[in-house]
Amino acid sequence: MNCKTLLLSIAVGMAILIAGCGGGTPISIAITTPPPASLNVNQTVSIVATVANDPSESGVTWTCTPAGSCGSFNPAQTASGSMTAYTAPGAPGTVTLIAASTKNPTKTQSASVTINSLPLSITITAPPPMSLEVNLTASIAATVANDPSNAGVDWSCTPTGTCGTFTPAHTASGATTVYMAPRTSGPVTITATSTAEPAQFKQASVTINPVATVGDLTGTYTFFVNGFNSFEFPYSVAGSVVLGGAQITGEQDEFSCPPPPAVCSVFPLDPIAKGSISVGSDGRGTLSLTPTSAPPETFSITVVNNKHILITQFDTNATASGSLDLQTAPTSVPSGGNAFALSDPYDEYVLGGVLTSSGASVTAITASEADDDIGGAAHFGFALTCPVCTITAPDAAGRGTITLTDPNVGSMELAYYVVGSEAFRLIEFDKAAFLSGSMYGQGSGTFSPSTLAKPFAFAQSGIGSSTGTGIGVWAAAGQFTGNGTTLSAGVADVNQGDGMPVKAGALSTSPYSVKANGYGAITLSGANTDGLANFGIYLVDPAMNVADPNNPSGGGGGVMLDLDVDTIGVGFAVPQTLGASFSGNYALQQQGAFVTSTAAAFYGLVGQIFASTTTFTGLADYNELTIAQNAGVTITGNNTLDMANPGRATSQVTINNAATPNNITAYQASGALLLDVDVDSTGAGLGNVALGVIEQQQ
Amino acid sequence: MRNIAGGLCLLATLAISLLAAPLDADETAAPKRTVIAPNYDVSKEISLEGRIETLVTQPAPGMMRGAHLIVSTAQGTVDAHIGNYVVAGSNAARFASGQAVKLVGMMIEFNHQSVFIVRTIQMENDTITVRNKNGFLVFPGSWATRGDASSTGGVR
Repeated sequence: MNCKTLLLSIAVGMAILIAGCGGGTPISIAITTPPPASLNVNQTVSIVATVANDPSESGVTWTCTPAGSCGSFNPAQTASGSMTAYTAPGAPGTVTLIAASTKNPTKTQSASVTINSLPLSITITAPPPMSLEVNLTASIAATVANDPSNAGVDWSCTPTGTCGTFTPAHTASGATTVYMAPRTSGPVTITATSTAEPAQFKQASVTINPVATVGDLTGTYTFFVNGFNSFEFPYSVAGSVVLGGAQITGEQDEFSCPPPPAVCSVFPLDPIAKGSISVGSDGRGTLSLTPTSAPPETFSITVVNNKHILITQFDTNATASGSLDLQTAPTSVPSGGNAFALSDPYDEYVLGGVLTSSGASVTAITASEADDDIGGAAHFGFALTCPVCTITAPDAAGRGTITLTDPNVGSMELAYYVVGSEAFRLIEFDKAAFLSGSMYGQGSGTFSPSTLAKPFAFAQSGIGSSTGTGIGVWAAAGQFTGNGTTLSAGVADVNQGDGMPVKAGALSTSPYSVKANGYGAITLSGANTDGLANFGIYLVDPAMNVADPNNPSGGGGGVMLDLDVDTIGVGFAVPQTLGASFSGNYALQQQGAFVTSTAAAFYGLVGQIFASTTTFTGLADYNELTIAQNAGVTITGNNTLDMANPGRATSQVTINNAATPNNITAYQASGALLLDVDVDSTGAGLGNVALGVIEQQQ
Repeated sequence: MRNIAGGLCLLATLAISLLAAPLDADETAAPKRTVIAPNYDVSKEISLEGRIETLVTQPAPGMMRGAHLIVSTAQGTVDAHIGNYVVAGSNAARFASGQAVKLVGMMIEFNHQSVFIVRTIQMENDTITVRNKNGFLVFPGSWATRGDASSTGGVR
């Protein structure tokens, strides 16, 4: 045997030996870390298989059935004893996981797994705020998971009926609904329920806060109202009350004119013996006062803010509207420049202008320029003559006196009640005439025609030769912008109850003037304003807010008179911010008169609405003086913006579910203030004439 | 003593002089004023004499609001509007059917019907002021009925 033969024999022998060893222990495979018997859809678990007797160490190949819907492995091929991540399919069912020897795919082991659906769940994905003011809204959303039917969410809340509303009350999963808080404060629970499985729900708690509470109204407040008594004769009250203590006290001046032979009753310096006040969650409430001499008074009120409340007399004695304002500087005396506007419907007399005061003195008024109108006879640009021009300092109630001498009338003694250092409510108490109104300081304002060279909104009301034969009063509201010499833009709505209400009558090109002392005049043709032609405008401190004198967001403006042969009136103008929003909680007030085919009455209304740009809804106390006192009537309305006259909007407002809505035109001064006029009037002498304000609650 | 007529004269004087003023609005120029022809024009007043047929205190829908005297005159029946103030209260003027009256006022159209707008009512020796010379219905006891509203310079 040679060497070659020997080597070959060895090789063959080795091969036989090796072959003989392998054939004795075949490859095997086992799932050493098996999956659980059941998994949720899309759930991932680690599994391991080990191959034995595979000298090639080829590892494991993972597959499953039914193919295409049995899940996935990552990786699909592993070393023996190494982990793969198995992810269950998205649909429920039964799958078989197969581990095969990569070396010998016939060597396999399998495991059966049941794939279960995930349980349905719901989550409030856009929760409400922890607290929300009454009537305000929040966008909220909930998402339902594992709902193969995509049935969405049903919204509800407790306490049922007083917990608010959802728009819509059913949403798709993840979609928003608008939750509107109720009118009443307190805790509310919002529930989002799966439509598919009502047993699945989530809840959120919200504290509904009131607009104001009675505890917010603490201190001495000045109040004033003007209107008509049950005889449909003029009526005014001004005074001050101390709120927040154990007992309401105060002091007031009142006049009320009955038919003859009785003469007008005047109750000057009349102590308020007692009173009460309540405020609801929406800011509406009641203030009842019992003066010592004058008849008791019940006012319905709506809080605008802690320092400013709209009030309207709500009893059978009178309907009259005004405000209740915190005395923030009760020792103030009208000093320096002041603008004023006063009205006496009984004597068909208005008086207004500017005056300079040296303070409390017997010759206090050192300069003045005024206008008046006595039953259609207007006098322009005269001085309030002294020496009878005394101003006295206020008493502890914030009441002082001021004597004005109109050379066309005579001397008149008025009480003034302080609101702030530059705001005073005036009421005459000497029976010579029956003036009432307001006076505002001019501060350090410097005035010229350019003062009116920006947008303003205004409102006026009064009486006239036509109103006595129609509905009883006239009212107007509008907007204007000056350019230094004329009104470059402007429109007004005027309703004299004469069947010819003016809607958006043009004011542009009308001349105007403003003197350095703040005395101004706007001269209209009258052609577009149903005869209103001569306005006096007397400018106030540019920092003053005429509508809410304690509000630091003023801007000035002025008080106004209408000085015409057929009409007299009083009002005010405030700066206008175009493009302001109209959304949120607002106090509203209206004073006017109506005539229908079956009834007629002077009326006053004060209440609260929630506005959402194009619609509003709310509640009000509505005093149809000689007919009924209607508490808590519904107010609903819609707004249509006048695109041709930005700042002006027309509305249809339904009061107390009346069959026919009132047509109202509103001029928006800002997001916090709108001035409105009712423009219903027919040639048959029917209709509704009223002037109103809408002020945002803050 | 107040003098409304004087006031009207002053108004007219003011209006005429102001209309002659320049239109520019500056700090020194006197404001321009507009003179509007009044709805009630005393120059168009007429007198009617007749006898009262009836007093209507609750006018039918479509009639001018306020009390009316229906007066029989030589020219026919006249609907005379007198407003509510003169018929209000315990001292209200009393109007009896058949009573002779002299009315001063102006005829207007209201809701397609002729209405006589009364300024004064004369009955026997009494004269009741219903409206002032600008047509405003006047409250009893107010300046207009007392005749003491002044024009210029009057001081009570």
